[in-house]
Amino acid sequence: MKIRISLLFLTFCFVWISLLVRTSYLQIFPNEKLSKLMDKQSQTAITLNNRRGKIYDRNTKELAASITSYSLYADPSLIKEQNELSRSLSKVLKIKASSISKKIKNTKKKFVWIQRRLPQAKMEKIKELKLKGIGFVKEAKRIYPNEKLLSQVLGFVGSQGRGLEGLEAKFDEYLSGKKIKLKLQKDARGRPLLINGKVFTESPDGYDLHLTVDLDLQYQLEKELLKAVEDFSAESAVGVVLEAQSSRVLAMANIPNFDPNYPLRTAAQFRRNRSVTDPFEPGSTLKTFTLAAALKEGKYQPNSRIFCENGKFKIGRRTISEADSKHKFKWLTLSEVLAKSSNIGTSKIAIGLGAASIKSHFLDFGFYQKLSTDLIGESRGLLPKLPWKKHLLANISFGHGIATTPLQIANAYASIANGGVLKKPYIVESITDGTNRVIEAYGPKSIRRVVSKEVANKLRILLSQVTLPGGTGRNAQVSGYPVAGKTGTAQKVKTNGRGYEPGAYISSFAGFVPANSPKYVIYIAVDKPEKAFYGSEVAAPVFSRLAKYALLKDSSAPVMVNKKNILAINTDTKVIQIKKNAIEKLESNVKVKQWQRMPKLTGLDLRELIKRVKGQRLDIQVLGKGYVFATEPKEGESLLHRKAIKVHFKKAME
Amino acid sequence: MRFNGNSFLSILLIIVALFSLVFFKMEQRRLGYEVWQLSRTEKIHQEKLRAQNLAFAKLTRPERVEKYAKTYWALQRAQQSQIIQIQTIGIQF
Repeated sequence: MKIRISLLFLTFCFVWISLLVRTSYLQIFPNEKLSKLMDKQSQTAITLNNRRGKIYDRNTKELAASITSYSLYADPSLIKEQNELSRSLSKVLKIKASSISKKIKNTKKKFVWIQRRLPQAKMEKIKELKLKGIGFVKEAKRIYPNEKLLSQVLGFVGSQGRGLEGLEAKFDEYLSGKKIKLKLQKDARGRPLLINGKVFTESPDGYDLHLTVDLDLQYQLEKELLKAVEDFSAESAVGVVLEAQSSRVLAMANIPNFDPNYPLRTAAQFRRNRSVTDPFEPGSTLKTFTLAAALKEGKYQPNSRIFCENGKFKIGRRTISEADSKHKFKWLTLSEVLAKSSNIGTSKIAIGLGAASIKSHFLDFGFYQKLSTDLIGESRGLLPKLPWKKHLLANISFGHGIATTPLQIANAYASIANGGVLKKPYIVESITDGTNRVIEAYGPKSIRRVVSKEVANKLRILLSQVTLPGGTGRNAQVSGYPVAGKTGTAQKVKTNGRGYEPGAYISSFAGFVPANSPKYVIYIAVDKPEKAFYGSEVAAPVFSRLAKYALLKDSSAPVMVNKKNILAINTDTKVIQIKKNAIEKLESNVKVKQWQRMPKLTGLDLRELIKRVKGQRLDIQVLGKGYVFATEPKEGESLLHRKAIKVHFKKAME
Repeated sequence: MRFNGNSFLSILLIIVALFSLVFFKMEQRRLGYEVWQLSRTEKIHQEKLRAQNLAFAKLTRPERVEKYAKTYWALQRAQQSQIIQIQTIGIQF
């Protein structure tokens, strides 16, 4: 008996020890297969779907954003009452019931799309119907709330959610984000147990882009370009607005444009950003840089005189003439060459400097090179290799035989506006994540100094004279603000074959405002206008309206042309002293005329007062209510060099 | 048999500790579910906010605002010689 009991005990002991050993082995030593089995039983994987980042303008207005949409599908094999389902869905989807019936007719099919990318509200309404045999798939939908605005710059995304054009393509890596898969422990019902904080801390969403563009200015630019295209029956138009001191792109437009919500409805040629992709002969807007080279070399001064050959200048067998055949100039100063846009004058200056010098200066100003890293498909433009024959040099000096992009021209003008430094134009200010943490920040970057401050100031004065009476750019004037700029009328190169298209021109205007303290650099080009073709008639008025809008929008105070403003644009102390003396001498010789004296205003009401001083460009400071009883300066005193007058009102005449 | 107070307290303490452990474990799980549920609700609200922001952007796009102001509020662009009175010190228009 004892032996039996002992055997039984030993057997039990053996079994239990074996079990204990096996259990310990399974628990302690790693086993890949078992680990996987365990994970499968106790873990669940969740996917945090990525969402494309937003694009904002400089005032954080949304330009592009993605929302979740719901695509409705049906499994016809599960639908019992097809007609009823079609009728119910048609009411919500606002499409014909017959078209739904057609899609679900074939009961052998297991999957058909009824409608893609529905908004959440419609999805909820359909769910309330509790229809059998239908379902939803979540899909991201890219929305451009401003439709056509800034379309070529923004670009668009394809059906797979990848950026295909513009900033969407260039910054796709930042915008698209990455899906995140997380493993979490689950409970018996399969619900995840919150033990992984990554669910809250990790974001799969793409980064947001913050642009330098001002949406309101952009709208105004597009509106003005569209108006110009319609008014002059033009083929297309482009415009660029840069911040003068930093070369930030404030607006960039191409007309015709397209709606990026439906990109395939527009031809590909209108979907690209032609402001950077399509170079063309700039025409006379380039003369500024020939003159800049002349001033920089020191061979010419603003008052240097050039003989303009009475309108015909022979170079070998070729003849250079003025843009307007009626113009037969004799002697012009350098500033008049620019103001009157003389081809012959500019050619002679260029010949005097030589081809190598002109080419080197043009390269300095950023022509024939890519400027921005932000914008996709940027072209370098065209500049012939040296040596240049004399007639080619002459042509290039006034903007033919060379091709530049609108951005290059605008940026080169910005370098004059900011005092002589070529800066890198840019459109993306910063990249942030969902919590507004800055991932990358961009800012103004100087490329090189292209001219000295003194030369830049001289050029600013020369360009200001273009918009004064007698200059070609009078139509670019903005009342209250001095404008510096240059018109351009370039013949259009044939797209097939050599030479120029007869009767086809690109009318342009490039300039900046206010000339004494530049804020905005604006370039406008209208392609193939039919009703008029001179840059002064077509592009200059667009420049004027846009410049006025920009200045009023940022509440820039009108500029009174006075001693301070004239002197402010030259920092050379010697020059300042010479000018001060000249102005003082001039002042002492000036007799104050009757209309330059303070008129009698006593007893007038506000309305009558405004009528009386209209057109005198005076700031009126109104103090009190009622009728005028006193003024500063007093009646009959000089108004010369006065910016403002004070008018005191009393309630009733005593 | 004598009542041993210390033993009783020890056993009670162990039982309370065990129950507390279970209770806190359950509470942790319950809070986990709650947070999960709230995070889902937050997601839905975020989605709604996104849609509303987009709707707002659509409604306030410059073209629409200008059209609306011209149609319903008789907005006119300032003309060249037009005088616009702006309120200054001590005067009300």
